[in-house]
Amino acid sequence: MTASSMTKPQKRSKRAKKSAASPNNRAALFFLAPWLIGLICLTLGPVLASLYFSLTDYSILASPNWVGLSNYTEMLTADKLFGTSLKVTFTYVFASVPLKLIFALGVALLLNKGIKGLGIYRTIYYIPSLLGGSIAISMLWRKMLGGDGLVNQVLLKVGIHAPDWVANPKYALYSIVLLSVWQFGSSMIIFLSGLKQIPSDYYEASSVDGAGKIRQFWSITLPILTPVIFFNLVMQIITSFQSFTQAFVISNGSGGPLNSTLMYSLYLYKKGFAFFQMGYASAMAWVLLLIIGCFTFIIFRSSRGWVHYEDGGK
Amino acid sequence: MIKNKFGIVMVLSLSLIFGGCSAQGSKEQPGAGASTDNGSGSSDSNSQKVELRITWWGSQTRHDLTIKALELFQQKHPDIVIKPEYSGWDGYFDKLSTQVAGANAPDLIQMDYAFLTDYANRDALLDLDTYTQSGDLKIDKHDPSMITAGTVNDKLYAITLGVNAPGVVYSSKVFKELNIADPDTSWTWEDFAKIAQQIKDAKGDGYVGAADNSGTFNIFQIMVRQSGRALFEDGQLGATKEDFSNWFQLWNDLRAGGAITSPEATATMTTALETRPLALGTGAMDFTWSNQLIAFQKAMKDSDDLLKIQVLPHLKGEVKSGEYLKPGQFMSGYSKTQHPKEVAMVIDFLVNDPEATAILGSERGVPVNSDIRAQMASTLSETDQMIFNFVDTVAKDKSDIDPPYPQGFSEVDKNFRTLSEQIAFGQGELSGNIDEFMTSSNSVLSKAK
Repeated sequence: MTASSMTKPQKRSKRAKKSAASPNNRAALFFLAPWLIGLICLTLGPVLASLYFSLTDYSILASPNWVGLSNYTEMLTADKLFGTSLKVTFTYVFASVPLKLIFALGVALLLNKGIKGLGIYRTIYYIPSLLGGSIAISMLWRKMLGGDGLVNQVLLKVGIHAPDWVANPKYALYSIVLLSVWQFGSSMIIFLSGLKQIPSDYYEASSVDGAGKIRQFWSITLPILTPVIFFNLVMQIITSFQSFTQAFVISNGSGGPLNSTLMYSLYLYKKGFAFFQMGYASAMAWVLLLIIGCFTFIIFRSSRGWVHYEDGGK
Repeated sequence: MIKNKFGIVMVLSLSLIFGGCSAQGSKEQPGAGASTDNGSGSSDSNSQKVELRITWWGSQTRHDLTIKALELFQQKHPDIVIKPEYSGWDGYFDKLSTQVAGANAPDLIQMDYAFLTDYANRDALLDLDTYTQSGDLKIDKHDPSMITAGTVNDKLYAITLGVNAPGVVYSSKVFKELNIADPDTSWTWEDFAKIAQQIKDAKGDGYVGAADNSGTFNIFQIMVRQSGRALFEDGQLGATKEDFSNWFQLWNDLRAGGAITSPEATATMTTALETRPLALGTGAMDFTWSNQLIAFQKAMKDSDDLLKIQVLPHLKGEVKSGEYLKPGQFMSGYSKTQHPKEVAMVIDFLVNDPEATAILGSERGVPVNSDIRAQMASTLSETDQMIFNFVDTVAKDKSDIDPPYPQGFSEVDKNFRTLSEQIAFGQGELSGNIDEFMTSSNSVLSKAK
């Protein structure tokens, strides 16, 4: 979110400046006003403030003192937990994003078979996406995967003594990955609409030529779908890096057990609000912005190689 | 013509947006207007109610009792409306610090000993001296040591709501069932370990002698005190490496025998009493503050099981008693409150009013007002009686409370919990883990100074 909202305003304000002279576009500016005011007061202001705070020792309760880059140097040289939180977050992103996209695409393919009651299924599968970020679902998840939770009781029925998934440092993060994969709904809807756009004559033509289902998937569906995959990938990477709620709830806000669920944004939150180091937390936020920016940039750059636009990208 | 249409739409859309803002603003106006009602009462004083917000942490028992007491206050003072904002301990101070930063904190704030200095030094709390002098807040019957505890830089910022002491809470049912004698005040950590193991061996799998408290910093603190040191000295760790290794060795031995909760089970425990093995009926002992006995008793799955409390085990050849009396929680005012006088009135009511204190009982600890204590003595419930006796016992054999925790404590506290998890899950080696913890804690502490 941060990455995308950083680039957007620049473009728009340039456009607005160029056209401000013409009276007809003054109206447009007026209509944009609520959004612009909101952007400047509620987004740009705090963003700039956090840049300033990141160079201070601001502690919420006391007024900030200028400390230069020392927050950044401490983060990169001395803070072990910073490394831990990065490792946890990268593991989470690299495990959950591909799994979620594959799952979403799989379900979208199934739903695209022209089954009856598509609307109902689409809604049902979309519900987790709406609820998934909520506290209640995280609590439910913690209960379900807990020591004597539903999952383990079922496993016990078939004779497996399973560990407490959310309290074991080996598995805790993956239980959150699972929770995230379960929220595949929004990506699925986008895949589904992408699938619907593929003209059916492609399939007819290829089957005349003797292509099987698998061949069709690799040679027609997937290439045409690449712009949609690209979009989903970027969006999911950006949101996954900022993931917070599930880890917070499942670990009772501690990032435990053994810091195994200490996501970057959870650590940032703890630094700012629990340890009163808002300056440091602001610096962490800017580093996160850089990381997300880098990833988005890399994906955009690489997309030239693998994203296929039917209109030749015009 | 077209311009006009645009204009109309503009006005409409803007009014929608700003309408939303002003609607929120107007809600706060009655409160702001009421700030003037200290002077001569205006004719429409009925509509100008003073609105106070109060926040506290605690268990459901505390929420119920406090709300009841506040309702009584509002009956007696119909011109004051009190809005409670309560939660559990976890996250309470996260939220409070945010509210203070946003200059939007509640008028009345339940404060903890650990955070009092921080908030007082940063001018977040109301100086109560004005109101003790004006008589709105009476403290003449309060324990002098508790007034001292609420004083920072010679100014009174906090009134103690109850006196507490740490102890070991245990299931009398299980002890009776296994023919284990109630521990007496002279028991040692070895006795504790022996009993825990005995319970585990008798009850078998799925039941433990005690909850693993190796990650509870303020119980470790007791052992450090027993060796004659303080947990923190001059803004650095006062505990020695030996203190740490003795402490974790004790718990390691218990863990090896299965006498305490498994690392996984420990990770699922929180400060919410409902999650403790003792309450769930899967363990016989736990560590707690004396006032929590009431909430613990209510959280018990087996409500017939009467909980008992004993002083913390002693260290063999200890230098001094590790037990101390602690001001359980404080009530403070917010420095930016619009109604400081009313804030003082509410605090006074909560600690000095016979009816209010009767409702609150000793859920926050033994009352500080000696008159109230004497008055309550006749009507105490069994659990209340036990708490009163326990605090009396501790009062006879205690040492002075350590100064409030230094800044940076919460981060060190979290790292201590991680250290205990490393040791419990067998990650790394004991001595190296302790070294690392001590170095990082001292660096956190010196930076926070």
